[in-house]
Amino acid sequence: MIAPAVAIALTALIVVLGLMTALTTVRGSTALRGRPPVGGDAASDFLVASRGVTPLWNAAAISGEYISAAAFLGWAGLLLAHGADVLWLPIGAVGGYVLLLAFVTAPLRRSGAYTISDFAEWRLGSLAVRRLVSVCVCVIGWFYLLPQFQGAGVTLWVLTGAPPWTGWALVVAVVAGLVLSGGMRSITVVQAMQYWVKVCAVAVPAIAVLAVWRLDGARDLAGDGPPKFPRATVVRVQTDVAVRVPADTDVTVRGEVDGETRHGRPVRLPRGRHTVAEGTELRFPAGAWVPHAERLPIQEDHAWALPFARGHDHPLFATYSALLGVLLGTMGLPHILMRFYTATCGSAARRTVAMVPVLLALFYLFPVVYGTLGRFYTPELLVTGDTDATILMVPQRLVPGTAGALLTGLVAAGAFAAFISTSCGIVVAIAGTVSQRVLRGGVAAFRLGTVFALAVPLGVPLTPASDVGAIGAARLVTLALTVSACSLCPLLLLGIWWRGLTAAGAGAGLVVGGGLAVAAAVTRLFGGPQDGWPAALLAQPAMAIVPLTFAVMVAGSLLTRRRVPRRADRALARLHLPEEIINR
Amino acid sequence: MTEPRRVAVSNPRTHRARRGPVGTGWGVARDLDEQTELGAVYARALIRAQLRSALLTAGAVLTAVIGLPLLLTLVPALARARVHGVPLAWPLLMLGVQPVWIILAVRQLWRAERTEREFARFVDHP
Repeated sequence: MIAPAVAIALTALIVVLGLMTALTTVRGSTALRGRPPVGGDAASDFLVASRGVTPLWNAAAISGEYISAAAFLGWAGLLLAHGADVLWLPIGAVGGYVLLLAFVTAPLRRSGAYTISDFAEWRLGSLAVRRLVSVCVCVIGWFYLLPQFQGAGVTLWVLTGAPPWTGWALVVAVVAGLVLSGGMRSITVVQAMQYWVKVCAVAVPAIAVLAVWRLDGARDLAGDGPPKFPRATVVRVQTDVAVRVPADTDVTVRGEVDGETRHGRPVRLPRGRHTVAEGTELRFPAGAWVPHAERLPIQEDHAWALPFARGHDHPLFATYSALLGVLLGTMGLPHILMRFYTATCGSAARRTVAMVPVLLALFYLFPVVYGTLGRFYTPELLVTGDTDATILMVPQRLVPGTAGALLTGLVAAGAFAAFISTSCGIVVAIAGTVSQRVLRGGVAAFRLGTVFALAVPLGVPLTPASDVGAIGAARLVTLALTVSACSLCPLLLLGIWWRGLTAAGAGAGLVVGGGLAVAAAVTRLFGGPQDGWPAALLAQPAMAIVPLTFAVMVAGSLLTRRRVPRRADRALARLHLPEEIINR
Repeated sequence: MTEPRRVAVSNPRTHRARRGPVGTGWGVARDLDEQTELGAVYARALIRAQLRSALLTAGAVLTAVIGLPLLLTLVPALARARVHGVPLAWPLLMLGVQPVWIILAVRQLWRAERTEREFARFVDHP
């Protein structure tokens, strides 16, 4: 079906990977060789790249690291399925950087700590809090890694038909190689370049596809009913799926539907729920209604195009809670926070982050094109629920032939850049955090930490009944962001701005907030209630847990007021006084 | 008999000491350096000024984030209105909000740097 696309896409991938590896080996080996590999010096060089990166490079690197599978694949897929209701996500993401700039960046850089765990220990003088923060960093990182691996599996499957685990294996191997050989200096350069790779990979095909759509007569994408197949379409179902059919639909089935095996006879599926077995081939005539995977809403086109038009449970709460989770979650992402240490001083870090909204806003302009056109050109993704593949399918659907294959290759290269750069950032953050104290520092410990960081999420698909694939990349990343909003964000905000924070208060807040958020996320990952308030709360728990976490931290600190660290005033002064005043 | 080897005694602050006392010798900088009560008061003033500007920015962000969904829910006619056949909500959310974030970020950067510059000037010439 997409044989030329495969060849070209794979070539594109190899070029991108080769480029990165070449850069890494050159930069990485000089970084390692340039200094004597003894003790903390090499380790600190490894971790924060000696703090000599200019704001623009660093801003591109931060944006590159932030644009993950969720932004690249997931958001377009969510748009295809949910429509205007998910337009809020990029608003929250970019707004999060404005808050990050206002509250966290410069003080955190001035604390001079490598990781958030270092910051927490230095600020509160407590090893217990340090350990709690390290646990939070690991959990957030793992939740964030899952969708990257998942996205890689989907991408490789769309391109080559290879089973999803090959995508997981490929990304893990490349990330392990990059992190183990290069450390962070190489990664700064690679990350910054990858930002531009991603922007090109999403922008060029988007513009081409838009142009083709205009030439095609710019057909109105918004009809008046639920989506229909614009032309005769064959859907192959890869795993057992339950679908809902919006109205009676004729289909030719080769395989098993509702437990009955058929061999290419046409049947009429009545409106309602049906189960389709693995390996079944469904042949829809042009104009047939599109069956939707059970967990996707069936929306009429005009409801899809308007926010809050879908009659689902508590739409305003879901929107606010998701926005809050993304806004505040962005503040506590360990791999982004680590990037500030590569800036030379607090105000350089601040200038870096001030550029990030520009770069992110530029990127977020484009995925929407795929999501909207996908509604008309690739509605079959709604049948299997693999909406993450939207951005990969739309170019070849609109632009047939070699040009389409080239565009698909470009998108695939950008997608892999997204998985790899985000995963690298997270793995460095986890490995840095774990190795500094638990494994007593040094390069060997950092390498062990890398293996540890990559190994845990690999175990998740092995657990029975986990539903990683069905949730989709964007929702998985939202889970990670919610955990961060409920744990590290309050710690940072209070630790930086309130001298009265005590170790006991912070620890209690981390346990309560982080614990509840993780519990909600895990429940979500393994099923959980489907409707009513419990489902709305579980799906987007930030609105309830964030205020609770702040309350617990403040109340706990007030109750243990006598144990405010004696050097709290000094610590706050150090965080907020410009370096040139302290160091003169 | 060997004389003890001569050792140059130096201090990282020597160059500053040689410059002579700044002002009366009891400047703000010294208070900050030595963490006196007075220095702590100055530091607290700076923190308060920075917190004020950060809260202003956060207020603006929250107003937009709370206001927009509310606006679109309460005035469905606004969401339903079409510009060249596109529902207004799309260009509003896609293109309308990000520039606001960029302006807020630049303003916040500018304000924080100005606060620090003023503080540095104050420290040099109280």
